[in-house]
Amino acid sequence: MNDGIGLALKYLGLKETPDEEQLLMVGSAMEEIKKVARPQFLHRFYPLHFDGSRYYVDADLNLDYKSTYGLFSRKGSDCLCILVSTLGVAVDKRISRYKDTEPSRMVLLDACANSLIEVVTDEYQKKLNLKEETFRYAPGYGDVPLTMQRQIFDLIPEISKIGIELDACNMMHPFKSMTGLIGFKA
Amino acid sequence: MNIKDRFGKEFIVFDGGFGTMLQKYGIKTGVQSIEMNTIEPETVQRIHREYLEAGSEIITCNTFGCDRFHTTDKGLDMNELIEGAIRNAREAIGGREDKFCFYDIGPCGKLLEPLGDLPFEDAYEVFAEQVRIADGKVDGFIAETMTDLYELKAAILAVKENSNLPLIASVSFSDNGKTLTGASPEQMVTTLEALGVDMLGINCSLGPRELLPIVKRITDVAEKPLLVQPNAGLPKFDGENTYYDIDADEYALYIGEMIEAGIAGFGGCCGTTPDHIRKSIEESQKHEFKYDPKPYRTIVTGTSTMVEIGNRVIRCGERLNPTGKPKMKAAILEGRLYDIVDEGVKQIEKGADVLDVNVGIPNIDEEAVMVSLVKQLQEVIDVPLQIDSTDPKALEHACRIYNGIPLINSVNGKKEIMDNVFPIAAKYGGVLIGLCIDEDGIPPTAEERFKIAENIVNEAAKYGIRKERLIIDSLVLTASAQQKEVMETVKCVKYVTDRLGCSTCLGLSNVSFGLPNRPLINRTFIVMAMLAGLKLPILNPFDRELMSAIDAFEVLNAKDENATDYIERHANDVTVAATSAAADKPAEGDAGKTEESSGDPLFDAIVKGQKHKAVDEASKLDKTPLEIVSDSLIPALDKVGNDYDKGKIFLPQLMVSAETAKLVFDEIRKNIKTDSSSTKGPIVIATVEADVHDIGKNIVKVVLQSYGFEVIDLGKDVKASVICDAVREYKPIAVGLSALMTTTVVYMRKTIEALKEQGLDVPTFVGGAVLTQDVADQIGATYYAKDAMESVRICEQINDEVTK
Repeated sequence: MNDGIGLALKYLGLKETPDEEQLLMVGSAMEEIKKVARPQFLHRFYPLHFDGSRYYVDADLNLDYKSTYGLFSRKGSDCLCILVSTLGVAVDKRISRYKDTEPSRMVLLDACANSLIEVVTDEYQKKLNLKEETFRYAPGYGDVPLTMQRQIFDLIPEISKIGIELDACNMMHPFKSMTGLIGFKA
Repeated sequence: MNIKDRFGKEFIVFDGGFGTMLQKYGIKTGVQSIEMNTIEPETVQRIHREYLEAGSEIITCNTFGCDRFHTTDKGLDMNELIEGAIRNAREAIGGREDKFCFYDIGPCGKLLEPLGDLPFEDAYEVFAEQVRIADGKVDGFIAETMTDLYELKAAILAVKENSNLPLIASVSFSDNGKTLTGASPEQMVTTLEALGVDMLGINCSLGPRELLPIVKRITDVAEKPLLVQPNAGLPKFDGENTYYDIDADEYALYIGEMIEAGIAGFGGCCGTTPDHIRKSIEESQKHEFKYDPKPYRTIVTGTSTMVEIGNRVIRCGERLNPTGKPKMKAAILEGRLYDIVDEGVKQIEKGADVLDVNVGIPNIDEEAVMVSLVKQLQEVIDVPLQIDSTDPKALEHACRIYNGIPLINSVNGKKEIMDNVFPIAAKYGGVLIGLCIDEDGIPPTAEERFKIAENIVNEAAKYGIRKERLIIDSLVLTASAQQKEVMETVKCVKYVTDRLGCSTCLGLSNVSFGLPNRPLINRTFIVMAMLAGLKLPILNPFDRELMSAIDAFEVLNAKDENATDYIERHANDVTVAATSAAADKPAEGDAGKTEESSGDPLFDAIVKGQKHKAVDEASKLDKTPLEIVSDSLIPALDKVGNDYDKGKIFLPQLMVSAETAKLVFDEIRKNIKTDSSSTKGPIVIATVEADVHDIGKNIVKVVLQSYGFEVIDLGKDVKASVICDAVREYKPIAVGLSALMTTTVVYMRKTIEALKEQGLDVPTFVGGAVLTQDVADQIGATYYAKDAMESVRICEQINDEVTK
């Protein structure tokens, strides 16, 4: 099972194989993050239509971008999954606790949290068993603007029930939260 | 009849879910529930009537989410909707005297600072404006589905300060048994009871089966009665619609179990229907009313921790107090509150359970500083704090914005002080320290001090402050000046503990003032006081022997069962005899390792990030500080920086070395003559407006400091004008700006332009994940720093040019 340590090491700038000390540092940080993480998830499906030039759904969500076009057309997707996940607010608190006293630990915890949310989201996505699924895309990647976050949050008000808020700058709180777009075949 | 009089005496029956009923009657998508009050009032009234007929005694007005964010900000008329909702409820009740309607306050949908960006006082106003409209028109208020006790505090204050009607506060728990912001059911009980709600509640999120264990945890400790409104099971989603899977019969059985667990009221939340209520009422008639108030305990809370006082000895860290601490005084005057937060965190690491917070120095705005410090402390510390001030305004404001139930230091026997402080403790629910001093000063005998304590307790009762919310300080005088009175203090502790039934606290350090080996006197005194019953010593957590004396005492008085805590903390204690024996043996274990050694132990220690060893080595060196820096410190950091660039070590290791170097620098800086030309910089750094990412900026700060730069860190989300002001004030040699989001790079450009417009000719260096050389050029920055090491190179270069 992928425990996210490899990904965390990458985030922390390691280019060679890790030595024992480095593995220990990351391992203990990952333990600390796992203790306070409260992963929550939410997903919604939308039939995906194509009118000859662009992809769209029957909802107030603009998908007319080069990267989404490429994403869906490559796999012939006819359905869109929006997958929202978070590690919860306690992770944010724990990371910032070290901000002034032990910044090195803060950096470790931050990288582990970034890795952990990817890992748990991957696991959740696997359970959805999406056929011919595309890469998991997100607002902010490629030419998809961050403003799409606002549309997603307006479209799915239940997101607030898993504890995620979107502020005026399209930043999610808690910080360790993700929104993902995945194309698949129904 | 006043419905409040029935709370805790017989079952109170609420209504069930509204949303599901609206869906059943065809609410259109895109229309909010609250809009139905004016679009289809008949439908709203019909649902109310169905619940009333099913047997509900209290219906909640269709006002959940009727705050300004969901109404005014969306072009709807909040006033109209609220009055419409209340009108609909009244119509449905039709003048019946045995039916009531409560205003439903829901969460405002935004997270409060510091986790989110909504200030506490703004949240208060969002709730207060609803209360003002509804007061007098409804029979009471219920704040429900609250997932953050801090937001709930704002709602509770909003109701209590704008209405005299009954108040029920209901919390929503996740399936891990905690609220969204990490509070336990026990913490909820303490907080809501201390803030003076009339009934506790839990609702939503979970079905009755999942809520049952949480119900039991609450009824095990609660003094106030509990209302439960579970969902009709867990939501199941079939890709299009949400449905709930527990029918009315099964639901009622669970309500029966909760009645056995001691609830005092029930209703239903999402997915429940009038049938669920009907069947629950039938079930309730098969059971007795089992609400059984539990004893009220002395408990204080932080953001997610609660501490009970009166059982185990609770250690209160005393070090956040500027008296006799020039460093802290300087930090306050220079606005470096984060250094004080640092000291707070260290005290907790050393074992403090709660922290005293005092910023009393002359000629400052104590209210503003105290409020700011409390907010910053609560951002990173979750233990309870003790708000310590003689300024009633500072005390009041800090208690108001405090997240939790604080300790309040202090009140005493003087009438004026009591008149100022009791109302604060009464309103904000805090646990109040009472000092045995009155208009005549500190009485010499224990009996006289005890009389003052009694007086404080009696006067407090007039403000509704029960004695469980008071802790008596019988005052510690110095043994060297008033030796006979030491025992009077101890006697008074015993009197208060045995006769008054209150817990006691003492500020220990005073006793040894003027005597040699102060720690020895302090730790002997604390054992005497603990034997007399002391539960809240205010002490220095860094005094290991003192802390250990408490550990040992709690083994001997059997509070630390099986000495578990003691063994955990002291299993590896090295006693004096063992250390001298070990010192005679040659050091083993190092000889066999092939370690890279440069021959310079300080260099090695910094590279390996061995903080203690490095500081040790530096203090032993017979060199000038500047020699140490150029011979060992800088070369070590350069090696570390190189290894990091090559990817041989990773970021945390770079930072640990940087932290080590900073500690060495602080150590040797003590010997550098205090002339400002020997520190490099200053450099002003900040994360720009609207951006709250500060990890990168903090890394740069640590690394720059380790290279001997003075760094002024303005924090995150910093406006351009504030940065300009700082440049004018500190006259830095460079300004570093950090931004992590494409949307906030624009504020970086704004800042650089503002600096130029205001004639502030200072070089700027920028960094952050979205920055590149191109972007840096576009926004007019002088330099682009791709990482912390590059920032150092840039600043060194600037510094060289400036000092030429």
